[in-house]
Amino acid sequence: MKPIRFYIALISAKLAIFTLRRLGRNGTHFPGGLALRICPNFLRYIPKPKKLVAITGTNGKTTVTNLISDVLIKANYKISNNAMGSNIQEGIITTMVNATNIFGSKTIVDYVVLEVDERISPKIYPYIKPDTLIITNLFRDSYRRNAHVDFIGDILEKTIPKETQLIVNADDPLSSFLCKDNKRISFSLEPIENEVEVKDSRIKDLVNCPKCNNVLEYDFNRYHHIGKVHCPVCDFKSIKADIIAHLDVKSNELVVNFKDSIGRFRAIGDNTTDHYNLLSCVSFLHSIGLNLDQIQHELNKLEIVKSRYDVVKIYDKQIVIMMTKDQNPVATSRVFDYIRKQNHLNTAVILINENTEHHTLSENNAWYFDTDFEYLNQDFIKQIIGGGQRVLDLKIRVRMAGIDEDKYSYALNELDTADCVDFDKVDSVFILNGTKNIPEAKIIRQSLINRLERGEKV
Amino acid sequence: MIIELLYPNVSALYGEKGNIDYLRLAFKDATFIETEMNNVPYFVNHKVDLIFMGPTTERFQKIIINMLLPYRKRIIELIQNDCFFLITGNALEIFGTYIIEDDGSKVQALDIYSFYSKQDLMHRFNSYVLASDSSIELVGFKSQFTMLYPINEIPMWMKMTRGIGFNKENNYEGIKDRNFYGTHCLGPFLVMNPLFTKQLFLQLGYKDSKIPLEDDLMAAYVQRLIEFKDEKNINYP
Repeated sequence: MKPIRFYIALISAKLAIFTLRRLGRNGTHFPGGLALRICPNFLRYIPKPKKLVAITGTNGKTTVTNLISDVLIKANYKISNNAMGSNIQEGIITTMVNATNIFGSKTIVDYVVLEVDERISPKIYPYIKPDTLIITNLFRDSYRRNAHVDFIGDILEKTIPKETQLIVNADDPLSSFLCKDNKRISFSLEPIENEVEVKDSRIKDLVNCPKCNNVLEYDFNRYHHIGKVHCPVCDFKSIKADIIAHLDVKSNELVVNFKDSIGRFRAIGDNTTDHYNLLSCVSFLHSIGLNLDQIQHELNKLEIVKSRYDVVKIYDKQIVIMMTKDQNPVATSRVFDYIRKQNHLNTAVILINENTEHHTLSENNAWYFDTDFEYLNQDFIKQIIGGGQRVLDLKIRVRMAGIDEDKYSYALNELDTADCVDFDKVDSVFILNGTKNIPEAKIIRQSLINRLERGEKV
Repeated sequence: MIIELLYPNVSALYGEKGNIDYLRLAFKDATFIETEMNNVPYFVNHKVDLIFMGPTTERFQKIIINMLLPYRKRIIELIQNDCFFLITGNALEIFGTYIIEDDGSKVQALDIYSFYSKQDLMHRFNSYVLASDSSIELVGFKSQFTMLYPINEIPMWMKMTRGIGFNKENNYEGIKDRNFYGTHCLGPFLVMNPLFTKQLFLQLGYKDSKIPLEDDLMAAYVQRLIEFKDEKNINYP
């Protein structure tokens, strides 16, 4: 018997969703929050979906959720997801409300695809148990919220239901060992032709053996703690993957060896993290029995969402907007690593990825010192431009990375960073925004385009 | 000059590499000893000038305590002999009397300073630190699962102006005992506090009139002081 407040909460949330949509707004957070206020244990009573896949992990959640959702929709599944909204309790409740009929008696979709913030797991999994949970990876994230990977790993270990099948990255020796009694499918990406190991990451979240504390040895170190690892003292080593992929560099396709078949999938980007995201997606879609041809056909039409990577070419210049999650040193270092490999054009990097938080919060700058700013110390990178409140901290970090002081300039108003770009010096501009200032990145890009159209150089 | 970094692979969470890099930048001729887990610390059998240890995970905190307990007397001797220590984040808790874990169990610590730490893994305490040590203003950030409680008298370091001290009721933060400096502040404390850092470095024998990047450090420090003193700037939720 469900309490009356559950039904009130459900109808209120549905009304809120309807109204917000009529007003042309996304409204993924508010309706869930409303339901939660009316019925604090709302998720306990919501009907369980026929099939539920959840995606968690430090980086890549949104991309994987989008990829899976797009393919399922194109494969004629009726789905509900939170790909466009909040991945905490409120957004998840909104997604479940969308998946449920007005009477609260049954779900009206075939699949619920949920992006779940790792930290929020204890509030979700006790009530809605995923059939499959994809754990993309585990890295250190916001220090004031997520502390460290052991802390997040413990949360996941304690809350992931025993009956949930896991899909894990075997190249991540942290997340692939979680919940070892759960059924799992693991994937791995073999070293790419001419791939250079990144052994100069400032931080590694796994250095010492979890069993005996001795320093681990890497057989292959892709970046940070990602790679193949073993302990020289005890028997700890990376797990053997069920699904092994390699990148066919000529065709730019991921060739994925499942146990029973081989699939070829066009790469969705040229960053290794994009390959891992694609592997997470195809491992799941294959696991639910989707035809390989169909997966290939649908995926070949997709690209990573433009809020993550968006390139515009104008005259002989290019302007790239890239998501560079604030307070997340690994995600930012991955982007810096990507930029240092784009060495064919003289480049400016605009950094506006601080967490501005209403401009009333003095943000902790500690994460700058775990981020590989050294990767930006390249001859072809002619300008580094800071924008926002933390520009003086940024200057210190840039200089401690050995970068010439002359290359650094800044604007306290992030929108003014466009004026700092010197088009006499650079042909490529990377605008690196955080999760909360995508609109500002677009304004800066438009300012740059306007300058180019007016023929301005400096 | 010899600087020992204790277990830097596991006890340099939260941007502490900023402190380590800055020490390397300032003391280019110094010998840096990086002591790995399971190894005997260098200070046990050698003279060192500065020992640095930063925050770690709760699991490694216990392991480090067990690794250092056999050398407790040597650590006390080093403090008495004016060896410099810079201990940040929850590494400070290792030097207290004991730690009460989230499940209520008690972990014996080095018992060099008379306080205990109490974990609450359901709550992360985040705070600015605006404090003073004699005439110097100090700034920092705290993000921790613990509150610290003095048992007997301890040599406290900074008087808080804003933020959480040892605990929500205690207005002091950190330990200063001879040349032992311990603070629960996270991140590049040396980089963020050029006035303190200059004093410390001069005591350590730093010769130049300016510390590395001093003008930039001062500019950021002054900016942060303004921000932390501005009541409109909310403290962490």
